[in-house]
Parts: sequence; structure tokens; C-alpha cells
Amino acid sequence: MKTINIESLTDEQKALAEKIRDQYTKLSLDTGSLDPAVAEESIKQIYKEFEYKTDTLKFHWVDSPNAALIKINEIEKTEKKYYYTSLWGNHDAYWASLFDFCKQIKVDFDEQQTRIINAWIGLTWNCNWWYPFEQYCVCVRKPSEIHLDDQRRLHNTKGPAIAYRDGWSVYSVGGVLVPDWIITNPEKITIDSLEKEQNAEVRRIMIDQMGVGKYLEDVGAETVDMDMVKVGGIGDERAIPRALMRDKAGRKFLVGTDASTDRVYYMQVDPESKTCAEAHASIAGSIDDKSIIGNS
Amino acid sequence: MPTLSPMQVHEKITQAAKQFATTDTRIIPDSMKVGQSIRQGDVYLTRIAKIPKEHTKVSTNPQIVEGSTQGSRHLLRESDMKHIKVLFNPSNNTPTLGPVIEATERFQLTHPEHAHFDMPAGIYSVTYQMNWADKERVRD
Repeated sequence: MKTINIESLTDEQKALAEKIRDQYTKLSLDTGSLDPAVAEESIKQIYKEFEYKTDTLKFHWVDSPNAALIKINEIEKTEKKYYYTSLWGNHDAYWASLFDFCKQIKVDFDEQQTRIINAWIGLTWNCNWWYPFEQYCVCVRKPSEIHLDDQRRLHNTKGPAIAYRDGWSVYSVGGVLVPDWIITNPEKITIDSLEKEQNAEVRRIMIDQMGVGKYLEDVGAETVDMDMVKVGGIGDERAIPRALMRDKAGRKFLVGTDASTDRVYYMQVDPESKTCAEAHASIAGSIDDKSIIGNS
Repeated sequence: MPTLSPMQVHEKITQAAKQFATTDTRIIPDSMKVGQSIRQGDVYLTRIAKIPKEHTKVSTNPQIVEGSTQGSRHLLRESDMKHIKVLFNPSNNTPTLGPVIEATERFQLTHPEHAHFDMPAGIYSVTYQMNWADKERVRD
């Protein structure tokens, strides 16, 4: 294959790139039907190009990645000869879209590369996750639901962010993966479970799911101190509030935001802290609160 | 003593958070002094005068903090890596102590959700925020 450096795109090529981007974005979020026959033919072609045998290859279609793993363990309980291809299904469509675009603007792929790209595109349009092994291939149907927020992150505070047809699901809020029960049974979130959660983002979501009002009431929060911290770089005098709160058990929390996302965090701090600055110093290692000239 | 109730305080901070939410890059001028810091989420960069002698392990990874959830990556801009050295202390066992960054030109500390920082050339120590309850680095 010749190496071609594309320095710029024509207006037509730019328009084509946008069209393909939109097509594949839609595909990656598609929850509709697919054509298993096309997927299987594409996979067989990929096997051939990688010089893997296809004469005894069997296909098993399942409804979720979880079902795929169960199926794989059913079929082969000991050694599994997995074929790594780096080619994925419709969830990875953005990557195939680049090659589809290159193909359509007549990038000079050789014959084998063209065959692999065509097979990969066929697969991308007709399969979700797939797991190729020596004797068999497990293919996953598309999910039934995908939910995103306005920043296109997996997001649903009322149910799964991705749901597959067999019920297996992924729960996510603003792109942060969370345990399912936080979404399905928020009434089970307690102060005790909040204390045990070590991930700051998950804890923040748990407080949101619990309801900030209930959280503050349950912990018996009292405000101890408030101050303002600088937002931007040098010369930017804008400031944002933060607060130190104490709960009925004597723990203290620094409540603040980062001045770039719209998130509010409750960070446990040294209970001996009397001011926001002391509280911050207790969790910021050797950083002097006054030395910070920019937050985000 | 503050007169606002905890819920009123929460609402005030939430309102400010929404008002200031932006992903505009924060430009830090070359006049940033040794000892001054910036904070991006749970990570601090502090300008220091020289590389501590314990920081001997060179890394080419632009990710200065490992995150456990999507969108938690604090990354040095890939195109800046040619004029950046990231140096870890191989015997470090302090959870809040990160690597040292030595940049011979301006560079950016990026994050998919927090605003990026455009920083002057210099030497910086990385500090991770601590989780008070277990004294470990904050996971996000």
C-alpha cells in the first residue's frame, strides 16, 4: 500500500465525512434489528483473511455480553482458543467509520485490506459484541436501550443506561458507572453505605440519588464555616463559595465545586478542622490552600 | 457563624457551580511562582524549583492519574509529550504523592470534563487529593 499524506479535504470530502460520521453515530446507538446472515458471512471472511479455518465454524447468537460469557463457558470449560482480531461490532462503529470514509474517498488499500475492511463494515452494521474462537463464534444482538446525556455520556438516573434484551444492563450516570441498586433502589442508600463507598464520583451520585435534602437531614448537618475560592488563573478574580459542615456523629465535610463541571462534592475532612481552608488542607497533602491560583 | 441552613448552603454552591461551569481552558501566565498551585478536580500541580532526587523513574505515559471511571483521566496533552518528562519516585508509598513533571515548553493538563490548564514551562509536582476516611488517594 502506498503511503499518502492527506493534507486537506475538499468540501465534498468534508461533507462526506460528516455524513459518514452521522451514519455511524446512529449505528453505534442503534437498538434495532440486524441481519445475522450478513454478520456471519463477514465473520467467515475475516477468519479467512486471518487464515483461520471456517469449515467447522459454528455461530451462537445471544442477547448480551453476559450471555455470551455464559455460552462460552458452557461450550468450552477448559482451554479456550480465542482469536484476537481488533475488529469489533456496532458499539465500536466510530473506528470502522474512519476506514469506510477512507474507502469512499478512494484511499489506495490493497486487495486484502479492502476485503478485511468490507467484511469489518458488514460486521459492524450487523453485530454487537462478538467473540471468535477456533471452532465457534458467539455473537451478541444489539441492546434494546441506550441512554445518553447532553454530553453524549451514558446516563440514566431512572434505569439502565444500556439494557440488553435478556435484562443484563449497564448503569451509568453522567458517564460514571454505578452499581445497579443505586439506580433501581435509591431508597436503600444510607449514610452507612455512603461512608463505605470509596469512589468520590459514585458517592456524589449516591447523594444525588438519595436526595441532598434527605442526606443533610439524615446526617444532621450543620454549617460550620463558609468562604470563597478563586475560580480561574492569575488575574481572574471571580470566586465560588464552599462550606464546611459537621454531622451529628462529629464528622466534617467540605462542600464545594470545582468551578468547571456543575458538580457539588461532599468530601470528608479532618474533624478537627475549624475553617474551610483547614479542611481543604487536611485532604490536599502538602498543598497550602492559599497557594492555589486556579481551579477547574 | 453562617446563618444559612445546610440546604441553603448546598443550593448556593449548586447555583454557583452551574453559573461557573465551563470547559474554557484556564491560561496560567509564565509569571506563576514556585510554590503556587493549580487544582484540576482531585489533582494539584505545584510549581517547584528543581526535580527531587528521588524521582528517577521516567514514564512516557501522559496519564498522570489512573481513574476507575470513565471521564476521570487527567492527561498531559499528547502533542506536548515531546518536551515533557514525567518522573516518578519508585520507592514512593505516600498515596497522595504523584510524579514530577518537567516541561521545557508550555503544556496542557487536560481532562474530558474539567477545564484544561495551559501551563508555563517549568517543574511541577503532582499531588492527589486524599480520601479522609481511609487516607487513600481519592478515586474518581
